[in-house]
Amino acid sequence: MTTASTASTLGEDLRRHRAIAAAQQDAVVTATAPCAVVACPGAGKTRTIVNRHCATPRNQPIGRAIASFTKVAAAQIRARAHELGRPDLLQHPHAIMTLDGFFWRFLVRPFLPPPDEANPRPFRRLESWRDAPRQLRQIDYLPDPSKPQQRYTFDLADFQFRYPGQLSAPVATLTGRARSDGSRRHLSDEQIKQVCRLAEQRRSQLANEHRMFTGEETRRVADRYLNLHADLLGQMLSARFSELVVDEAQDCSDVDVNLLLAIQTMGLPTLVIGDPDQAIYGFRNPGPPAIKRLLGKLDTIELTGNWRSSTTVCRLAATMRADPQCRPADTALADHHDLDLPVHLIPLDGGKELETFDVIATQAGIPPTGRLVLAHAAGTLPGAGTDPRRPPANPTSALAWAVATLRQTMPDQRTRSLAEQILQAAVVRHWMLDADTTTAADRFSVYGIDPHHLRRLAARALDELPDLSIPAAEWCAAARRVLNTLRPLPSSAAPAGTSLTCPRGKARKSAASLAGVPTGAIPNQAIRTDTVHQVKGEETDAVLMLLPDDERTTHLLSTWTAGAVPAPTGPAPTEHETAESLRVLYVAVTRARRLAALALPARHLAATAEYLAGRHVPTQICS
Amino acid sequence: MVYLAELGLTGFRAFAEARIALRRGVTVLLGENSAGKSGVTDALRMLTEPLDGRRSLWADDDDVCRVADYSSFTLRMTLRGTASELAPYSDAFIPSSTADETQAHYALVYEPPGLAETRGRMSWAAGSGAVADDPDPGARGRLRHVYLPPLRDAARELGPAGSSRIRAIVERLLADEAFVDETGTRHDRARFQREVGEHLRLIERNPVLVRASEKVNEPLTALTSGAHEHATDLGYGRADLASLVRGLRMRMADAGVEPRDLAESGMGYANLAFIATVLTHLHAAAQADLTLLLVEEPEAHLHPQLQAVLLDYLSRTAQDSQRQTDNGWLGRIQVVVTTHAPLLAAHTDVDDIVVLQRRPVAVPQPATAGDSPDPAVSVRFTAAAVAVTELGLDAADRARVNRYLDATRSSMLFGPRTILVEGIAEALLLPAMARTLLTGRDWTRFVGSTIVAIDGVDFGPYLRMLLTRTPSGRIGNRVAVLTDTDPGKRHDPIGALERLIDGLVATDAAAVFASPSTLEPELLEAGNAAFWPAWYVQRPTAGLKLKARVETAADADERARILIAAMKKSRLRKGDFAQDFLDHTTAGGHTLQVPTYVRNALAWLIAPLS
Repeated sequence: MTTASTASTLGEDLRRHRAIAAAQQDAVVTATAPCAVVACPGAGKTRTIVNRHCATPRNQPIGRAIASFTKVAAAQIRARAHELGRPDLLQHPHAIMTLDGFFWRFLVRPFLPPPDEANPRPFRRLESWRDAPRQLRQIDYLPDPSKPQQRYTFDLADFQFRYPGQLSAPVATLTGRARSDGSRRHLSDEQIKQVCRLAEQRRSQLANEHRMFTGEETRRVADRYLNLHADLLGQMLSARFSELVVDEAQDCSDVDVNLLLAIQTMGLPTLVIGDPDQAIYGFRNPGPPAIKRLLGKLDTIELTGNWRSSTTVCRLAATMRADPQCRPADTALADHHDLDLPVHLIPLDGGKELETFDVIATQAGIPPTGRLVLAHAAGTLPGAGTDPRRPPANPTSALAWAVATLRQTMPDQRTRSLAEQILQAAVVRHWMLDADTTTAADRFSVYGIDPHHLRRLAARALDELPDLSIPAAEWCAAARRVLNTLRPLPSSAAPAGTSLTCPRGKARKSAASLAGVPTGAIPNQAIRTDTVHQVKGEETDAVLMLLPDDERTTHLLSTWTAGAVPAPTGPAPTEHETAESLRVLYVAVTRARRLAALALPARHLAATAEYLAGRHVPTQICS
Repeated sequence: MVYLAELGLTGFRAFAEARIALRRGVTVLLGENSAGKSGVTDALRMLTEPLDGRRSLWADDDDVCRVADYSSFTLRMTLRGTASELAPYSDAFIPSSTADETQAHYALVYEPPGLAETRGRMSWAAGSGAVADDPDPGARGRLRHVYLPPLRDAARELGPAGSSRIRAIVERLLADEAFVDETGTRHDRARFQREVGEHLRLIERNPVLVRASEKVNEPLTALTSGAHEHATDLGYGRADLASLVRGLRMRMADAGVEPRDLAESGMGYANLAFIATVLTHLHAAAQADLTLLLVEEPEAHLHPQLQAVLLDYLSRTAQDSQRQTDNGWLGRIQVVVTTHAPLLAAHTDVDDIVVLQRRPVAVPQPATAGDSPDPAVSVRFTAAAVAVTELGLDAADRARVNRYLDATRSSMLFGPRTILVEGIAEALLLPAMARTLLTGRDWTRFVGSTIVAIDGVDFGPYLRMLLTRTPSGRIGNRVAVLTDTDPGKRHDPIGALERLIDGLVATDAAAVFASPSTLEPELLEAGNAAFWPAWYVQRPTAGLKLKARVETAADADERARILIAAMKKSRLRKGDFAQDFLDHTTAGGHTLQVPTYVRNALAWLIAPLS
């Protein structure tokens, strides 16, 4: 119960805090690069960058480069520039792109050797191996060469790659669902190692012979060119841009930080903005977040006002920081800052924790669309055994997957565009010769297919392809009839490509089973579930984070609660791994505007609650 | 120092395959008609953006070269400058071996519309070709051009239709913080509109205009009183800049005379006024890195001295633009002039000259040639360009050629056939001799040749300029040297010339034709009756004695020796002699007898070009 006078004092406090936060943001707008901005969750960092950029006068010969790991920043700048009537802010001389794109355009592309007789192919940059032609990214593995029908097909995009050092070859690993899907789980670790060697060979072949570069190849070559062309780049970069702004800088890998430091040394001042506590890509290179090396070398401005979360959520988040002693909780600035909704600790109970969360959220007046269920690993999430984001390798199954995905109510942007590409590829594959070896970007130059026309055809295909509930063989026959009507070129007479066939042994099963997506269940499931890595940068009213009952979780809780939850005996994950798990937890709870809930093994509830109470975080155990 | 250093054309208009080196300051493109001068200008117009953003030239089907099987055309440009100057074009960098200079390379490909297509396709690629795209088309917006077409209707351009340039100049002054009048007052847009507007309102209150307005209103009131009553008055439109400037006319007259409407001035001066406004516009265009000023045939409407003055001014403009600017834009101006005026060539440093030529190409006759009415169609032409700098002439040669190339001699850069002669006498006699020998097409070819009297025997610099081979070919296609053996000299000038031609690997393109002695004895030897009467004009008394001595001489050599000695002693004026000789040939009804070496030279000169 608050009286009128305390309410007005609170109002004044809020105004004061907001003024402080606004002043911090203004400091970022006017700061001189090089410098670093450490921003708490919900600090409006992208908006601050946009404001800094929008303060640029018109008609400048020298531009600003803004690089991000997501396309969110570019979209926000586009919206803001539109509001201001300043479309010039998006155009030359400015460059607003992903960090990959920046490295490619300014460190790599200018120095690539032109095509010659030995290799007449031009270079091309791919967002991922998924963009390579099907035939090139497909890897067939025969465990026993005498049994050719016993074949396993992998997609290069399934593997994780890293370059251990400057000139060493890439190392591939296959983990998670890509490792254990379907019949693959019968392969031994030794056999998977062989598959990984094949993937490494294929990748080197694509990079060296086919001249296809993903972000990793781009960085590797960028590193080399930075040394090789240091003089030229030194003159060029500083004359081309006044500064390089790196958004979401906590996602920088070691290589990224090396490149950024080299660019800085060459005279292009860098402004990095990010939150080291949200660095959750450490699995790419073990060790403390790479960004810390960058922050150590730059003057730092802090943004401590959180416009997203309630005070309770801010306090909860503060307990998860790497060094909770030296950084107090962020100031909650949202209108609901003083919302009286404690952190809910829910016992893991074979799915009942979801029901409990629903009840709590309903009581708090948060509709299902405002709820988000998260986990570190996709395997922890409720529902399907396969990753609904990963299309099957077989082209027919992939088409079924694309149709299933696009007919759902809310696929995320990345999955949607992947599904759209598969639909387009299906049309081209049906009509054109050698479609499996032709890159999507080359369809115009090779076949003369207008990309806009193809998009329209793909939309028609989605509209006209039959329902996935019918048997697969029947569905394939109907799909062929539909594809026959979707002519990619006015001049094509008869389809000259590869006809869609039903995968062996699946004829009588439903087409939906080809897709590997439980199509029936999805439209009813209104609450979104996702991995933490997928929801980076997003926000929602209520978040439930699932912590599975395993040793990792116990180690995580033990580290988080400073030993209040006792560490299990037995081999522990490395310090860095646990630190990263804690940052993943931090990212998960900081997505929440109003309600943060954790589902954890029942035996740790009391100790966790006690720890939180000791840190002045309102907590409630639900049983 | 950023500039467009090289232009490449493949399958464009008359060019099958050509590369043209351009100069940092001024490049003068010389060439006969249809040698591809407009092609070069238009290529530059397609590669760069118009300064005012209003493109008036678009590629179409007809731009694709007709010679050979081109299905598209490609235009390429190479920019040169330091790495920091070219930083905005980093996407177009090509790795270079020299550290202090970098290059940026762009290629534009045009494919004409295919069957059932209505539009062609343009695609750009930046860089060495390692990646076939141009990720930053905006960068090319910093490369612009201003185009001055030939035979301009300057009066129209500067009249009501062309007020945009004048408006741009006024706008720039109004925006210029540094501009103040004599009293130190700053004139911004608001002040300008207010002040000019006040004057207009004064005019509107003139009793005549007020009365005229009432005249209109009387019937109008009668007509509209039944419904909503309307009234009119007479006045100027809103006093905004556009409408104020629209009424302005460029007026001009000799200094000190009341200026009159431009249409009443001479065409030439009107053109200069037009060029002046364009140049002012150019200064206003500081917000670009490089602006190409493309001037086609500046000689149109201008008398020779003005042509020279204009060229000089353009070259200074380019020079001045090399200075550092303070706003971050480079603001460089590069001038490209096309001309077929020898005078402009004479006024240009030879290093700045690029010679454009049409060269015949044999095109295989199609199998079904039966319906072709004109068999000559099978010979077609392509254009080629040779920049004088590419010849690698040494400093001494360049200096000499620069001195030698006057308005008359520069003609040799415009045609395929040149005959170099020692002096005025040969230059005068050659056309008359050709007239007696040649008819029809042969005569036409002779008329299309250039006769250059070099006033001496220093043929070397000319031959090196005309015959040095570059990757794009030579400037001279056929060069005849007509000279004298001058017996009795210790050195061997004829041999030296032949060795020079040999050394240039140009025996297919050049030949030396030497008289056994000198021209005058050879005229006598050929049996010309007009010889002695012409001699007597200069030497009435001594001539008779000389004639007697010559007639008693033993052989041709001795006759020549006597005559040469007499010419030297009596300081015979050779030009006058040649004139008199021709006069007497005509008056006496004699046939002009052509000495054998001249006959050979002419026959070789007019043979068809391979």
